[in-house]
This record gives sequence, C-alpha cells and structure tokens, in this order.
Amino acid sequence: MEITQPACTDPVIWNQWHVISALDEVPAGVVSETLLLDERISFTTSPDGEYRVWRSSSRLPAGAEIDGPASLNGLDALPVKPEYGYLWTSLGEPPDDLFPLPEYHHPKRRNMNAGSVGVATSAPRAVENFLDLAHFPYVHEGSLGVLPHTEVAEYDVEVRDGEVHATKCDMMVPKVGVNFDEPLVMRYRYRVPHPYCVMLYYDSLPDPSLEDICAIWVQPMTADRVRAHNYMGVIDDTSTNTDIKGYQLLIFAQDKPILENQHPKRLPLDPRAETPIRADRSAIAYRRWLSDLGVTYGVIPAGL
Amino acid sequence: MIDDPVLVNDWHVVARSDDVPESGVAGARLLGEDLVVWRQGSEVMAWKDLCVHRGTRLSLGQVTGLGLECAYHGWTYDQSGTCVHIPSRPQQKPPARACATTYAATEAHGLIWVSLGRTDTNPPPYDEWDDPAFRHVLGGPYEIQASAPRVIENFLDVTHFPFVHEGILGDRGHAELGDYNVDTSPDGITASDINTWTPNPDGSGEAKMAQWLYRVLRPLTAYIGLSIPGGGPERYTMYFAVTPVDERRSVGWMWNSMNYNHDLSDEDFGAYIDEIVMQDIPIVESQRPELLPLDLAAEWHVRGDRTAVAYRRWLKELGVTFGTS
Repeated sequence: MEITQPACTDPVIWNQWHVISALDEVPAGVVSETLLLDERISFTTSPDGEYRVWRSSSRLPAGAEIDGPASLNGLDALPVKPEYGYLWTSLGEPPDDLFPLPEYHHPKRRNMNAGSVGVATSAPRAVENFLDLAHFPYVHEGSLGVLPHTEVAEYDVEVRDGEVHATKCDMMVPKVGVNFDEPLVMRYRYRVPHPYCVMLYYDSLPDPSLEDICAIWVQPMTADRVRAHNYMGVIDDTSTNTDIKGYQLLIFAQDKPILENQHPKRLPLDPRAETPIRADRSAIAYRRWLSDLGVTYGVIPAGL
Repeated sequence: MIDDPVLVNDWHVVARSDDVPESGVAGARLLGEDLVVWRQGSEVMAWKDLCVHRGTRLSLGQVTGLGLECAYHGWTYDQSGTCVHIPSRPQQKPPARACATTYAATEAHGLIWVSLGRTDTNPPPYDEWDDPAFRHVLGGPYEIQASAPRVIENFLDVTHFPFVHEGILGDRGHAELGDYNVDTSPDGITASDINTWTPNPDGSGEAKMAQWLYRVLRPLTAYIGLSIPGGGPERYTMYFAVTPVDERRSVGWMWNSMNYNHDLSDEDFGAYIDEIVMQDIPIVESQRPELLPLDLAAEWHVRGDRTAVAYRRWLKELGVTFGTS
C-alpha cells in the first residue's frame, strides 16, 4: 500500500477543528463529499441520527445511498463536533473544545446558516479581507460604506486570551434603517479565535444592549481554495432568514472577485512583503499572530 | 522577470488602441507578466497588474481625475506610477514605497505596444499604414496555444499552402516550390522571388500566380507583400505581430492591407483572413516540441524551408530563449 505524503505539513492547522458544512446541509442517508487540507472527506447523517465524517473511500462515493448502519463500518473515521450550527472535523488531534461563543445560546438570538461560498483564494486572505474596513466605501459602496467617507480612524488591536481582538472600529455607513436620513457612524469589534475563523460584533438595532454577530468560518479545501461558511446570529424579529442570508451573500459576492484577483493567493507574513499602513492594524496583527502560532499552510512564511 | 533580454527589450502588442479609450482600463499579459493598460488624456500607461498594498489587480480599478484607482481600497496612482492618494488616511502622504511597477508603452499602427525593458527604437514600421491608397483590416487578436516563434515560423512558411489552405492559397496539383532568395542582415530577414499558383490569394476568388515577399522585421514581427507578377501596382500586404504571452501561449495581431479589390467588403475580407488563420491554428498548436528548436539538427529541413532555417539561425544569433529550445 502506497503511503502518500499529505500536502499539509503544518501541525497547527492539521490539528485544528475545521468546518465542512452547515448542519442543516448535512444530508441524511446519502454521502456528501468535500475537500479539507487537500484530502477528500465524506460525511453524512447515519441512520441512528449521528453525524459521521470519514476519509473518502471509493466504496462510498459522493451520492451513494446509506442502506443501513453497517454501510458505515470499516471506514477511516474522523473526529466529529457539531457546534454553533456547523459540522466541524479534524484530520489530526484537535483540542477537546472549540473556541467559546457564549452568545450563541442567548434566547433572543436567531442563529442561521447565511450561505457557503467557494472562493479561489487562501483562508488567511479571506479572513484578512473580513477584518478590513478601508475597502467598505469601494467594494461595498452604498451598503457597508459610502463615499466620500473613506477615512479609517485609529482603532485598538490586541492579542488577548490567544485571540486577536480589534475594538472601537468606526466606519461611516449609509442610512441604517428607515429612520435615519444621513450616514452615521457604526462601531464594530472583531475577534479572530482560530487561524481561519473571524467574527464581527456590532450593536443590535432593536436591542442595543446586545450585539449581532456575523462570522465566516473558512474551510481550507486547499492552500489556495476555500469554502467560506457565513454564520449570522442576530437579535431581530422582523427580517426573514432569507432576507438576511440574501444580503450577506450580496456583500460576499462583492468581495469574491477582489479576493480571487489578489496575488499571491497565500498571505505573505513577512512585514516587508506588502505595504501595510496604519489603517491596516488588524491585518498587521493577524499576520504577526499567524507567524507566532507557526502557521505555514495558506501563507508565505516570513523570511521566505 | 524572464531572462531573455532580446524579447524583454523589444516592443510587443498588448491591445488595439480602440480597446483602451480615454479613461479606459484593460488587462493584458506579456512574457509571463500580468499588465494593466490604461489611458488618461493623451497618455497610455502599462504597469505590472498589482497594487502594492494587498496584491490586488489594478486592472479591476478605474481612472479618476487623480489617476488609476485600485478597486479594493481606492489607492490612487498618477501617470508616473506614484501613489498620490490613500483614502483611509487622506491627510497623510503615501509612503515612498507605494508605487506601481511601470513599463514603457507606445502606440503605432492602431495598436498599443509595451516593452518590459528598455528600447531606444519604435515598433517596427509598416510602410503601407500611412498610404491613403490602402485600406486596413485587422485579423485577430488570435489566441494561440503555441510559442510565438512557432507562430511566426508558420507565417513565413509557404509549402503548407496546398495542404492546410487547400483551395485558397494552394492546391495539391501545384505543391512544388521553386527556388527563392533569402537574405539575412542584423536588421532582419528578407525572402523574395517566391511564386505560387494561388486559387484565392486575396479574397477575390480569382486564381492567380502570386509573388510573395517576406520580411522578418523583429523576432516576433513579420511582413508579407503580395503582388501579381507582371501586374500593376496592386498589392496586398500583411503586418503580423505575435505577442509572447507565455512560453506556450501567444496572441497574433495581423493587419491586412490592400490598395485594390475594393468590391470586397471589410467584413468579407475579415472572414477570408479568419478562415485562413483558423486553418493554421490547430496545426501550429499540435506542433511538438512546443518550443521552437534552434538547433538545426533537431528537425528535418528541405530546400523549401529556407526562410524558416534563416529565421531559426537569426533567433539563435540574437540569443532569443523564450519560446525556443
């Protein structure tokens, strides 16, 4: 039997949990297939209602029907963690727990799968784009940003509890809701709890004592190609899931051509490689954090 | 940058002038480099298609009063390639490092030419371009999955006419080619006294004895002057520039000019040219090795291939390595 070397030799990424599907998109009784760190992975809901993930086998190709529990015997099983509405797995030895997200279970929060999109770029490029504010008036003109309000004020960035946090990120947005006639300033905070996951928090309009959450969990199919899973958890009684999901995908569709036209695809971690400026503090901190963690997959390590 | 000073320091076509109107932005590729080509006022610019900020293609951007604006964060570069505006920090002068990688761009014969290196010359001349008696129809751009030298060599070749262009440029009953002259100088190659019995040499549908004059002006630019022996001033000329996009990928731009045959509409003339080129492309794309072998022992040559042999010798003397082996 030929042993092939895995394409991913990065132990940090290999031993992480990664999302492969929204739970509401895991089929029952039929095999689904995807790619994770260049490896083919299959998954399904078994007849006894359990999520199952395994290294793909020609015995059970994509679309194959699961006749009974016995069909799933003798497979090269992978760890399974259904969490925050998504199916997480790992090719290595992940920690017991995923990063905490206590807000997920708040009774007023509506959690939803806001769509999964394939993008031909690396996971770190997708995360860094999500952290970036300066592109709002250009890429998302009229929705997240508005000309001529292009200036990005100074904000705070720190690494705390092993995660990157950016706070007091203020951007001028066009009208927010029907009661406002003029652009106003929105305040965001960001959290990067995992090399390939990033969350955005902002005050909920109906209940400003709580925050809405918008996140992408980025599945590294290969070092240059991802599926970005959009998660939203909102305090909102009026908009439908369809409306919220549609809006999210609209925004994402604006980012996709930019992401796919960045070179190199892998994020350069060397601080001299591209030209960061002070408005890019999140990006600078994120790149340094990835370097400190020792990530090599999906990036061009510093000094190379 | 690829290591071929001959091609790096030469002019290559990247677009028609009309493809990049005032405030227009286009992408192109040359010798493995992605380029952004844009126009503001009377100037046309060609730069590396990369914004130094986050590696975004500048060709996604737009032209504003200040210059070329990147689509991602609005970083704006003036015609010299200097970044003059960073919208997220509008009060601050952009860092000195923030500049585009610029290349030389010029226009000639309705085409935009770029050099990735230095040139103190202009693109090769096309005498008929300014002659009011001639009308000009552009064939192409033709995308060809072959090395540029292979494409040029096919353009110079005559003995394939009865087979690849049967019924148009040649026929099997007249496949023999008489001897002809080839002269090589440092400025290029001339092949003359080439005569063929041609069923339809100019789109008119009339069979004629045609006399061909070939000139190789630059490694990847060639010229054909076609006349009828013993005929009058009727001439059909072709000016063919082949852009080396990658070692195995090229784009062909072919001006076709005539001072007679005015009954033939531009559209029909274009269709006639396209039909011929479309016959050549699958042949050239099938040639192996893809890179033109400059060692004359590598392939067989017969007397009818004298122009091609001279071309390969000339490329070898000049030191062309991109697209050759």
